Amino acid sequence: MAPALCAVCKTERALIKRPKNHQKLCKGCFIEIFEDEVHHTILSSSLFYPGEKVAIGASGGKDSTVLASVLKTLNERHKYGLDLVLLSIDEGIKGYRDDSLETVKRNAAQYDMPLKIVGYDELYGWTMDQVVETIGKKGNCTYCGVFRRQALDRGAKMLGIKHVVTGHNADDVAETVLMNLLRGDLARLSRATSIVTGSNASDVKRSKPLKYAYEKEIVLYAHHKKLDYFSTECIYSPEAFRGSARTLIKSLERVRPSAILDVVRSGEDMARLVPGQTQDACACKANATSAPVPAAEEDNGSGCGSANGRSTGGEMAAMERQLKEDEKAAEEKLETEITIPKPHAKGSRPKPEKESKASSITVPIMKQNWAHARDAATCRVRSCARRACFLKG
Amino acid sequence: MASYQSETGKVFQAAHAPQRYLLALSCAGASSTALLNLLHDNLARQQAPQSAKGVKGGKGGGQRVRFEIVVAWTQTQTEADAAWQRYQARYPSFTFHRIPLSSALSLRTKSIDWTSLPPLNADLTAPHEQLADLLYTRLATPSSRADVQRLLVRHLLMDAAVREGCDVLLLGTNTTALAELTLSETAKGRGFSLPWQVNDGPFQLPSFASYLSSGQGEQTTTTTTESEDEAPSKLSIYHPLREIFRSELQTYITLTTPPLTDLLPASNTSPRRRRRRRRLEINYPSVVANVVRTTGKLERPGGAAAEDKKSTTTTTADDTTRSHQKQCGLCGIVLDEAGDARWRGELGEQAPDVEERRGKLCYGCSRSVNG
Repeated sequence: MAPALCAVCKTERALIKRPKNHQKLCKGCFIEIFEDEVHHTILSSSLFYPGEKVAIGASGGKDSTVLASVLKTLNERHKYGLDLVLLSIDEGIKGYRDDSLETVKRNAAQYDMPLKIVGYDELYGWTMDQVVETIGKKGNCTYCGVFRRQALDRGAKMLGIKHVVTGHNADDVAETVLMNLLRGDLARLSRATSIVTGSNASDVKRSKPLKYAYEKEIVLYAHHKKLDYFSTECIYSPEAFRGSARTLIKSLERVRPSAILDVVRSGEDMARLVPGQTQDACACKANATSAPVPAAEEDNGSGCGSANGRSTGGEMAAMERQLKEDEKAAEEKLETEITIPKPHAKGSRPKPEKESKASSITVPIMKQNWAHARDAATCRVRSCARRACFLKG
Repeated sequence: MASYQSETGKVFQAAHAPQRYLLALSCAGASSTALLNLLHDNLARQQAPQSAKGVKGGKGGGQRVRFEIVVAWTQTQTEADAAWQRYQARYPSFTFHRIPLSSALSLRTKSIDWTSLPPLNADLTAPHEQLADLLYTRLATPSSRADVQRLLVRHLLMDAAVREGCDVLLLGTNTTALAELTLSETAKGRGFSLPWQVNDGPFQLPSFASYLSSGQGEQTTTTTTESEDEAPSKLSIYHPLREIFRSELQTYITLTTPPLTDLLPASNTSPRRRRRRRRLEINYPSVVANVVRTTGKLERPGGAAAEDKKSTTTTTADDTTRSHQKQCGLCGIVLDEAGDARWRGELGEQAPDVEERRGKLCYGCSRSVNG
């Protein structure tokens, strides 16, 4: 069979099937589309203003590494005029964070960005190892999360920066929407869906430029751009409830890839229906930057970069492993199939529709055809009628 | 004097006219059957003389509440016939109406904008064939079909309520089913419609000017005349079983005398699915209840206060408001234009002339209909 050609350039061989809509793309077009979509998110939400000093919350994981890489690329390509700095938090977890910080240090050199590392020990006098020693493994993520959010704020203030960007992706947002729906927390649901969040206690705002990017696409981008990132999970226990929401999201994605963005859309809409919220959906205000939504003590998870497919049988880790093997095979001109392991929870998966072959995804394969997802590829560049283009200003 | 007495009599009669409720009954639905039985018992208790033996709290004075029962059959004809007769035999005091799904093509309320849906096959003449063609060949996936069919049934029920002069539509959906609906609608991008679909309260019925001409598959634009527009624009929809779990209802239907299980056909839910649902309720009872209560807190755009204010305005003013508010052609919910503007790129931007000619759909319905 003749190799399929890229759906965009129609010249190169299609190597990637986009997880978002199963569009077949070549490597170059995938990277370009991914970057264009992030660029659109930045424009439509008016995330930055020219000359702004922005700290990238860098954990060394795939999300923050991709974020740093994409922002550096876009900053140069579209002349954002941003002053980018890497800001890392050292929780003091031996065997995990010390290794990932080495990755961040390499990234700082690769991207030619200054790096600031703020440690829990210097800020609070406690490392996470000491916290776990005192309270045990159960529930320590709560402390760590609270500490990290504040540490990011304080780190940014030390650098004189008022804007921190984090690597939260669409899967994280969808997961938070479902989790807060399940536990009945509308306030957090509302905050988590907002692309820009802030805190009453601080004038540092946080934003999520990868809010509409699929986790699987982030892995693919990192792989094809040959980014240097750290993929070991945190050695301390995961947050169980978030784990079940994550399993649910991954199951939904298997049945219908567009489900993640649909959940994010639902979450954004529901956030506007929360009593006391504004009815205006559009984040692109006439002013230069989006008004932040109060973030209070928690807005989203996975900031530690450890939610790496933990509860889905290491789905993302398996994908990364397979991508490496796939690359070797590609060098030998072989086409290989990646099978993602089924989640642990037997029977917890929704019944797939007839068209779906839910148990596996393949990269690259051409088996599945999701009619209802085909248009999701359309770049959102055109989407916002009231887009405030800060670069014009 | 005679005329005065006649007038006051009319006023008295109008003030004490029985409230008409329309109960949606699903042939295989344990929940709606349980609700029917509850209402039947309640009515019997109210109608019984106060001194009747064995009837607690029985009040004299005859009938206080009158129910009209409407049945929307989506099953095959043979199953429906048998079940239909069983229900009528068991509840002879109620009036049952039978509504084929194909009558969605000729709703009196005109609450569906057929121009927003794929065009019907004009070669087919029978409405049920046209509808089957629409559902089975024009929609991309089984989940799209299920979505559209569910919304059509909802329209049929609202239309039946209006036609029967009922102010209230009662749905037998229980907590578990509402929680399932909330989660599935969230996953389908229909989060915006949740306050209307899951919460109790008034529903503003849309009325689209462009409508099918006698179900022949041709879409024509007709102007709604005043005489045609007699139907009320607002209907209250309630879920009386919204605090009852599915497992509780399963127990209830076995405990009545005689058990309601005789009425219901054998469940076609797989044992595995039943076990999973039961486990969900046992392991996460608060989660199931939480999901429904959380959705209950969501406001409909304009807020509850605006709804109440609107309900007190005159019909003319109400109609004016309605004409200014664009509603989705399929689900009838107010269009979220601000949200759509932001996300339009995801579905591909429609050319302005196409938008004008075709009816508009909300994000969730576009997903269902256009894929």
